[in-house]
Amino acid sequence: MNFLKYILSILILSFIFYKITIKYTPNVIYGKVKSKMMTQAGIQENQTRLLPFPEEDDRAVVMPNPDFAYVSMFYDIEQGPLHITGEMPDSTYWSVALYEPNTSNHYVKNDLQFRSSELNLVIGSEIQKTTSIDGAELINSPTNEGFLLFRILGTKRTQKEREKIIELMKTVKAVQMI
Amino acid sequence: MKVAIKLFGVIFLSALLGGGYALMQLKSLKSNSDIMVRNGCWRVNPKMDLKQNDWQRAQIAIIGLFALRESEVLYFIASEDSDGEKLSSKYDYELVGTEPNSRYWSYTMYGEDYFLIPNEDKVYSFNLDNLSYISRDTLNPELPRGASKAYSILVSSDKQGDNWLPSGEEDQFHILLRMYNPAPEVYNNLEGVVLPTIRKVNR
Repeated sequence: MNFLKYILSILILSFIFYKITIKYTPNVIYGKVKSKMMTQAGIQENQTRLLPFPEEDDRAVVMPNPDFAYVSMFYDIEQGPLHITGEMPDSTYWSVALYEPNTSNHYVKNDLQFRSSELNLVIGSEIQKTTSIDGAELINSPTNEGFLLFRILGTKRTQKEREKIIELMKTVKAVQMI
Repeated sequence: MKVAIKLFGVIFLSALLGGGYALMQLKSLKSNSDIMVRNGCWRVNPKMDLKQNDWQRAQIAIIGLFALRESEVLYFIASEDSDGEKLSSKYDYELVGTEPNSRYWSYTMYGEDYFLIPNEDKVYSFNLDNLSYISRDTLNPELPRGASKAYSILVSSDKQGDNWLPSGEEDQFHILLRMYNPAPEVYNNLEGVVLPTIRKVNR
């Protein structure tokens, strides 16, 4: 009888652990990637990391696209919204995407949907909606922490194209509005 | 004391069984077959529900962290050739196809671990701009009639000429076709839209 009790307990608990693993695996992976990327780049939260056209040694995130230059940032808006500015290319695909710590993609917008190549974005929470900057788009972040990712396409792989995109990547800045 | 040890044993064993089985399932290529649409040797997720669906979110976190929604990009992945055998560096393959109907598209090679495959030439992918196209008069029977731009990519661990994708030394590799901003016809016909074939060729 005791033996059956143990088996039943193990089955029920195994099911619970199964569900917990499925639910929180993305958060664990996110945490590991965040720690790895910030350590490698020597950056803090709300600071940008530039990764122009990944190669075989870039192993922080699976399935990188070698045609893209990436500008990324782990953000934290608990102390106030973030104002993102910068310049993007005017004749190629680029996009901005935001992710929650559970890796859910809650925002994406590409160059055709933006009306300008001049970036003017504010990332804030629901309660920070009162914050406004002239002409800036307010992006509501469902969580205080998250990941911001710019993708800039460079398909020709010429030195000239690379240099131009890298210059643009460097213009992306984030300032916390406290 | 005995009760505490027994309790710890039950919890430890349960965590090992439940957690281990979950991770094993998440990493298995076959486990997501019910949510993926198959088109030849390619598989695509037609609806990336990362908000509500814990299972999909976990699986994508493992093999495609920070992927975009299907409204922006369609990710077609091939882990097998057109004859249903796993893609492996032991063999050479020819990928034959026509221009996908999307704003930007590319083919990228990934190793078993889903990272770029190391190679001296640092060639990891081909896209719409750096691929050498072949003329239609080659009468390649693999190509559909009326194809505007056709191409052939050779996947091999040995150095080749144009359109060579190095496959390194991978027991299993994957080819990812990305279609950014695809045409509505692609979304409406994921199972039938014309995609390349991948077939073994003699070394």
